[in-house]
Amino acid sequence: MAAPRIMIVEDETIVSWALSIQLESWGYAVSSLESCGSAAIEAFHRDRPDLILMDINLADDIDGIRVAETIHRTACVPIIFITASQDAATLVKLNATNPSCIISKPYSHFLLKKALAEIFTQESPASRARD
Amino acid sequence: MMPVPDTMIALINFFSALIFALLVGFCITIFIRSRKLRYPVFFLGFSFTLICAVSVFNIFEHLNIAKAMDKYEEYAEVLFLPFILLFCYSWTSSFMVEKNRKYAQELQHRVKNNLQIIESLLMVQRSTLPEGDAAEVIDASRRRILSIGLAEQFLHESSGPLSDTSCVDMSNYLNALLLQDELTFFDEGQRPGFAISCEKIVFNAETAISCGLIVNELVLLLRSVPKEKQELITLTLKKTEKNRYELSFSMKGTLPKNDFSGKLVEILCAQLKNPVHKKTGGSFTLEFSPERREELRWQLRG
Repeated sequence: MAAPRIMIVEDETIVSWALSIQLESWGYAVSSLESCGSAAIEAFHRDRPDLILMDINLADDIDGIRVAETIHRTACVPIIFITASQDAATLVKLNATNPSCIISKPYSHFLLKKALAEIFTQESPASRARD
Repeated sequence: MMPVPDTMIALINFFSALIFALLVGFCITIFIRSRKLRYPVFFLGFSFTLICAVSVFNIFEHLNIAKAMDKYEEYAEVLFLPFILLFCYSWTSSFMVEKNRKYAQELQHRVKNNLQIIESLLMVQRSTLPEGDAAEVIDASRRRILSIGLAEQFLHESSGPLSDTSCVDMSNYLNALLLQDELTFFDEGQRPGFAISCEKIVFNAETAISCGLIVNELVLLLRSVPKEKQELITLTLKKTEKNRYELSFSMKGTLPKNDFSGKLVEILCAQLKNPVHKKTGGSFTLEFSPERREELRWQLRG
């Protein structure tokens, strides 16, 4: 069975680099690393990853919330937000995008691993095939 | 009997109205919990009541003293101006409070992002190392960063008396910290059981981070204790006397020794105000005042 493919959307290259190393060490495949919102939407339609790890503040004008909204209009893919923004207004906007999980920065690797395991365990092969 | 001048009556009436308006203003403020809205609501209530009171007194004035009406209107016009200015000032200050809150939020956002960058750098470097002492040191440093990060997270979620973003609810913080430590320091099946007893205590960020890092080091020490020797470990934070707090960590058996962790705990204790700490057998007790020590002088032993 092929390793689940994850797209990382993060404007800090060191953080996305560390995330990719961590994900690969856990047996996941990284489909692409994106730092801009527009590039992330394009990469999603091109690569069709099984999950997205998303930051909110990105390198261009399109933030992670808008990227999630755009992607969810056409596809049902789990999104985990990893963000340092935890104010009430942002959390309301985040929850409106129906994320699978919200993890605060600096993130605990244990929590991320657990969240990924839960998502991929819950996700049935049928729902993955539908997408 | 000498007649009371109209001006005097007008002034007495006006000051009565002023006191009444102030009282109403304060009464309304009692029901406003939001700091942001408290001043504008006070001045709104105050100004509105003052206008109403002046009108009411004016009617009495008009009924009793014929000539006072014109003078009273003059006073009202002149004296009302400062209240308009006060009202504008209150809105401006509430705007400034909101602006400062946004600055504080942005600052915390940046702190957390920078902590994430440092943690990621360490993680990347850790991935190039084989298992061993160096890898252990890097992992321990990453966990310390997570402890500081957790305190930063609780700064947002706290609703302490200082301000919404300057203090940490210690009960929530210590519970989350121990859960995080338990999950990240220990493998499944090796995790010790923690019992936390923490009163409703709120500390400023510096004190909370010092306490968090001390707890972190003590939990880190437990890694060298075999699971069968770890019994229920208790962590207590309570207020002992006026402005003194006690943080205690105890387990059955003896707390292992580690030179670096021991020194780090000593330094972190020294950062607190009037610290008294002792480590005997399986227990560590620290008594301190909540403020940060203004002048820090410490010397490492050994």
